[in-house]
Amino acid sequence: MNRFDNPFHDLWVTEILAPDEFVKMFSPVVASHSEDLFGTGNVVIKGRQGSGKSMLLSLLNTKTRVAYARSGAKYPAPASYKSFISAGIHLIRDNARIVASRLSELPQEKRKDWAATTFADYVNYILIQDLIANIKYLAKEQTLDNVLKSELPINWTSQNQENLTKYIKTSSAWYGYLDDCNTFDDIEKKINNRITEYRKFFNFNNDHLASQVESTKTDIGEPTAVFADALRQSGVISPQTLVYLRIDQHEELYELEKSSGNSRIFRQVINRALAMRDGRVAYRVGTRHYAWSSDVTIWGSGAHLENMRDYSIIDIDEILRRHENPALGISFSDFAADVFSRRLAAYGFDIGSHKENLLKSIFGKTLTPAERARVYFKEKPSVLNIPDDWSSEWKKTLERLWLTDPLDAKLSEVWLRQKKQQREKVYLSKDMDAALSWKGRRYWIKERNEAALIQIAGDAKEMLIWSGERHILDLSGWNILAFMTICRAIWAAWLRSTPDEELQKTHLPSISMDKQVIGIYEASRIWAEKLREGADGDKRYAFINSLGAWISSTIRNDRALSYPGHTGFSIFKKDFDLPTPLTSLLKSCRDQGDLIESEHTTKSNDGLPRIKWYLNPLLCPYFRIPHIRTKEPIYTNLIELNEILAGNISNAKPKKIDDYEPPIQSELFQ
Amino acid sequence: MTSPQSKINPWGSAEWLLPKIGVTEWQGIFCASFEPRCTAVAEWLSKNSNINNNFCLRISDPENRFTDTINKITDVHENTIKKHLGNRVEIINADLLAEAGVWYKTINEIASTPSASLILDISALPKRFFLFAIKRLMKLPNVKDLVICYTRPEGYKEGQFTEDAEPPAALPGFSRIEQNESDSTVIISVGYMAFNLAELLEQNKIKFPKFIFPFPPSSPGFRRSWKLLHELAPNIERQTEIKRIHAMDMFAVLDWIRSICRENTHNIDFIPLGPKPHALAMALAFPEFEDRAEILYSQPRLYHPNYSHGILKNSSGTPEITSYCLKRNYINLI
Repeated sequence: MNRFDNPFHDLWVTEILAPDEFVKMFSPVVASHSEDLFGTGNVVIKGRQGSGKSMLLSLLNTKTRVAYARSGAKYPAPASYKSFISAGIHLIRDNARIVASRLSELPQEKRKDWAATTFADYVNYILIQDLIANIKYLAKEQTLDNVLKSELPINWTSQNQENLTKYIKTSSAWYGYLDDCNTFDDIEKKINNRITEYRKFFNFNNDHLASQVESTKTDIGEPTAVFADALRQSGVISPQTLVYLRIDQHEELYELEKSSGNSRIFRQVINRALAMRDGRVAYRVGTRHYAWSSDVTIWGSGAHLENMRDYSIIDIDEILRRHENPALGISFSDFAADVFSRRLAAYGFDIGSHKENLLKSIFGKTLTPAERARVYFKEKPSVLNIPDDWSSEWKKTLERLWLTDPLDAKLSEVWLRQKKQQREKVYLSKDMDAALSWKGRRYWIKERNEAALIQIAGDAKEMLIWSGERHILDLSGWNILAFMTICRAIWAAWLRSTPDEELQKTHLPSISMDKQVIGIYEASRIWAEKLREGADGDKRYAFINSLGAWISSTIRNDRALSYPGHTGFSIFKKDFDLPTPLTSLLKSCRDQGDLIESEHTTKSNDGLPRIKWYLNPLLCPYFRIPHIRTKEPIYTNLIELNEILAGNISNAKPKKIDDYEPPIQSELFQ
Repeated sequence: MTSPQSKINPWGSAEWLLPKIGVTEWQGIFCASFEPRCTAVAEWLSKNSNINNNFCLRISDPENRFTDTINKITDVHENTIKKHLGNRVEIINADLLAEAGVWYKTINEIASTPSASLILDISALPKRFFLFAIKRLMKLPNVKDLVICYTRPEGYKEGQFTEDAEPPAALPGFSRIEQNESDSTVIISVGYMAFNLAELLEQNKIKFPKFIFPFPPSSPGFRRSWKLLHELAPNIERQTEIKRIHAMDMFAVLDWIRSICRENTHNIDFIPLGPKPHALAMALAFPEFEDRAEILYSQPRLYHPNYSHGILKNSSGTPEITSYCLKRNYINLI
């Protein structure tokens, strides 16, 4: 890593970085506001793609903790945190879906039970295998330098291993599978063999699952709890040490069920583990919103898990969302700024005195709407669309205003086009001072600034300006992956256009607006292309493209800007609750982060609850729509949304990705 | 099953190779599909070999907006195959996303006759099925002779030709037995579309990517292959190995893969995005490294009816069918 590389090259910290690099780059901001993560109960960590769920779970990894301890950096846990050790299953990497691969060989009536019991057993043994690996790893590291010894001593003596073997074997949780084991090594080998047997069977290397495995399948959660307790009783870990079991990529089960048709079995099995509310172990589940909430039924009982009783939720999106009351969440700006400065520091930049305002130092302030309008203006003749029948006083005033304050000129035109002024024929007035009354209406202006700028830039054939600290944070939509994507693209644009001699001299760059505009457009384009990735990729891509085209043309064609809030849409909640392909697609878009969802306080007389969505702000530059959410969204319904999805609404015809005009790269012509 | 003392790589055009093998009666496994090339091998064999007791798979994608069109085209191709094979063919219907257990049963039934001499036409078979089938057929003791045939189309549709790829996962029968956290050597055969695999590559620690690039490239295929390579590895390091191998030279790919995998004890991830013969090599290399290897794929749920067009012909005007003999008289030739 050096300062001539792009510090944001690796977007995904968790999977790529070695533990010591993780310590350098991990921001503690979210973790330090997630006390439940280090508590005694079960915790479900929810968030969109790229919200940082896996990163938070990685914090519990023993290797990460060792790296923290050795680096001397403060482990980002709240003061109340206790001694714990964790083990985990990564449902994608550990290929949990293979459990479903041989169901069709069984009689139909046996498949569900077999799937549930086999999945439970497979998960149990993977977690135990990982728990053993963690215990042995830490014991080995502690022989080197006593790392973590004060808070989490591992007493891996022969005597304790003997005791552990004894305690494990006395439990009936294993259904006799470990009866022939005499030492802990025997137990470990037997556990590893069992997992290998499973994988060979699921890989079709063996025609049958070994009978010793088939006849000793364990109940979900029980062997791990027994094993954790045995670790305490045998003295390997202290009686107070908590054992956390991580289940990452829980949404994989949701996807698996959608394609295999084994509806809900696997999630219900995990739900059963959480329902045990067993003090011996506590689960940490990383998932997406609808992947979790669409089924909280417990396998075998039909009862439902209860939030706050069986588990608590850490909703990263909710934590980072901008709240009217700041005490309700944490500032995404602080989080992003911390991530940003850690990246630069890790890449050797001398941040020094700029630490407090690093984003502003590098990206500068975002231009005000009036300043941006002046950039679009560039001494061009007026692009205002003034009808012939408006009074000459109005025409002159607007033309004059265009030269000094194009945004004011545009808003004056907009105001005159609105229904009330049209009805009163204000455009015929000769008294300009009285007529420009809109200037005192702060909110009227605020709601229309961005939409007016979109129209000015469009009419002036100028690329839209998104740049500066505020825009970068706003376009990130409280999502750290989006923020990193923007930073990476801007940095790449800056590196591309900066000669090596200048790079040598640069200790901390100040990136000009034109590079930022190009970088942000590039990030937006990448984000739009990436819609195709993940579940329902092409369907989501088509839907979001149609929505983007629909919203974009709605805003551009609303010349009176009567509906500046039409950057999002809302439907009845009761319609959204219907299980249709469209509502399923909306949920998928929400979980993947394509749409931002929230409750909608309706202004209509029916008073029926509604729910609304906006495009991820990072898609706004690509579709040329305002990223600011204001006033009332488009009130729509499933019928209209289906028409949009089918491309049957004239202004919702999606363009192909190559049809979108890239911004003019002015730097190429300078 | 034993290996030959001196290794030969028996492959070449069907008209050159098949007469040399010396089998008097073949059993064919074909696929009736929406791709025009699916009929070529059946037609050629019906004229040039003695074939009997054949099977023809008809694999359906999940219901989608192209289903009716695809069914109509497939009906025509199925009738053509039946016409060529007379009454000597059994049609097997199956779903593309069927659990692998369904394939397992099908393959076992196909190879249930002792001393089976099988020709498997992979031209229009999805990788999800044919890689699994080959792994199984190589293992079944009844299989005496096994030849794989592959017909190239005249060309592929420009732009997108599949949709809604499933999340990346190991193909059925090709997942790793020993999971561990060691680094992976990733071997990617480069084709036209990345599906969901670009993000997988970005998210995971891919320290040693190696690319197999079809060479010499055909136009416009080379442009699309380079574009995909850029998409998969936008910041590729200069020393990254890009191995150029002819799209049909399955044995060269197999040899190269084996030498790479034998060099170290890393995990190995195969990603077959390129020509089917390259994917075939990955499946054949897999058993030796199965403790630490897996074949990852992102299975599309929808194929466009115009996915490919035509049948590539050789200079004499007959379909260009490439054949690979994998087993002869119970001897494993790979």
